[in-house]
Amino acid sequence: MKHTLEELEKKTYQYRKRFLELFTNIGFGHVTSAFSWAEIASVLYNEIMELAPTADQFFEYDKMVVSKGHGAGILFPIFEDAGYFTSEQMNDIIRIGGKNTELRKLFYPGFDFYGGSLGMGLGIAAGLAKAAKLSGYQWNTFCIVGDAESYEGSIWEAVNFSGYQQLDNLIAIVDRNELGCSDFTEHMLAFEPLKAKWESFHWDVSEIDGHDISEIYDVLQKAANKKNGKPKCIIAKTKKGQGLDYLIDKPLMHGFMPKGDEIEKAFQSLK
Amino acid sequence: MASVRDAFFNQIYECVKAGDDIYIITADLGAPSLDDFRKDFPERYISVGIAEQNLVTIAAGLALGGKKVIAYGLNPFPVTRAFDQVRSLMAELEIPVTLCALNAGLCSAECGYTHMPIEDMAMMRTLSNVKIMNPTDETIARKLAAETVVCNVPRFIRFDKSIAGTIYEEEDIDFERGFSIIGNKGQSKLGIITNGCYVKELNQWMQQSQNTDGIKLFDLYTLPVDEQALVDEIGKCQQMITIEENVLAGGLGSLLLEIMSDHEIMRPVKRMGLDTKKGYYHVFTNREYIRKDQFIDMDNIMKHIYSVLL
Repeated sequence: MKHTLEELEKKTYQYRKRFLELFTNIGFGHVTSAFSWAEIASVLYNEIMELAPTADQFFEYDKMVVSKGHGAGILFPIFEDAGYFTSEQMNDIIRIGGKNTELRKLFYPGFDFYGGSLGMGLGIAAGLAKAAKLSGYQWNTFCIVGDAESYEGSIWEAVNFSGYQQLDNLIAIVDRNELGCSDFTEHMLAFEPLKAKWESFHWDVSEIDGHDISEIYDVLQKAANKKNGKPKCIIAKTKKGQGLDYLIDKPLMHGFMPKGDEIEKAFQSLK
Repeated sequence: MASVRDAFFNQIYECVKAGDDIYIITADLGAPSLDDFRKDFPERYISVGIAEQNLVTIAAGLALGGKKVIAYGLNPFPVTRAFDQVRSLMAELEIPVTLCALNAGLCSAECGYTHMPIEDMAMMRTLSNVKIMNPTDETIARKLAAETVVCNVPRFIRFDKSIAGTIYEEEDIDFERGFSIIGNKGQSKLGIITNGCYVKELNQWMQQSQNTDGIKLFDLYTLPVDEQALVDEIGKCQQMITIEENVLAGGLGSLLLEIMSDHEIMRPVKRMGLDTKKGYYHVFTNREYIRKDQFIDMDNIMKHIYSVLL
């Protein structure tokens, strides 16, 4: 590993804290979705992915598709930490009127598409992975998929396609926090047995604790290097809102952003 | 004589044979013109099954991964089923997918309402950054295919399966201008705005009939058109008729009224198209049946044209 576990834990804390700074400032964002996969994003960007230093080296490096686009906000502090932006640049971008398009160009290396309209990212990732196969590129495509996003039928169209096409350079990570917007998935329309569903489409499936950095590292490291003709699915058991006890694992907190007096409370309770 | 769809894919085949790097993604839709492509370039023919949403996302992913892609599906599904994908990926993110859809308007009306792409033009017109192409003849189809090889913008191409044959010379076609004019090139009594199947039918009728000299026939094969160029030509017409197999809301008639309103052009306009107030057809239909019922059959169209001209 390039970092110690302690360093990664510290970095992940800093990412959550910086996320709060940036997004309480603008007044909106999806804090619980972002925090749900903070450890996963942290390990991916600090340990696993090879990131293109500039956009013109795009085709030589790993790809990342944030299908659960509501959680993409956690990447801003990560890119800042990785040196893609200065704090001043970031403050200037994350504001009303901030140059979002400029951001997209700068983000291009290793951040190839973000969702928002749910259910699209895995198809994009599968297309990228197929393009790599056709061209003989060695990079992997990673895709973070929300579990509640997987109610979209288009996710399963892409799951079917990827298994059949034997895209073993595609690694989907399901952020299994069991929460949609209004309720827990298993109360609305149960997904379980989720592992068996992915496996039936010829994917290699693992289940991990999505907040345990050591487990995340081990499974991603193996998935990135195992070329067995099967795409990889990692079902990461997470808590929506992880890091903020008063928001954690609660329905109706999707899209929540602390405001006014709550901001201080959020910073104080951040773990 | 090949259909516009087959003229397009035959040209793509020739391009790939000559070394161009193109992939065709299909939602379980073939074509006689694709049989050789499938046989000779199997790795370039990728099927997603009947899954139009995946058709667009996989194509977009391949395009992001550096591939030149044609996504091919049965209209209206790539638009109506996958509109969100088209909207987010092709329009907003400008991912350069060439989305080809077989059927336009009423050309497949015998299959029922589900298979009539009659709202797709209106829906696609609401999007920025995506060009809408309606090939009118083989020349346009071949030129479109040749452009697909070098094209780096998102495009939606709708093929009317009934259209075959040649109207234009290659130098007549200007995709940037977006339209060609057949018939009267000067001051005209009547301008007719249409595209697709009606161009051939009206062109034939104009050539065979008396007293059609006053007609300026506009073929809007690319949308959006060069608006100023269109305005200049409308200015030469005393009256306008729009003819289309689309719902009137948002179609070519709407387009003309919007442009005329924006440019403060006052002319009488008659819109001929599908009137949604009539509701849906719950009987077995075909193109002729619906055209007659909607008063957009050639007899009725001629009657309107002569009421202006004579």
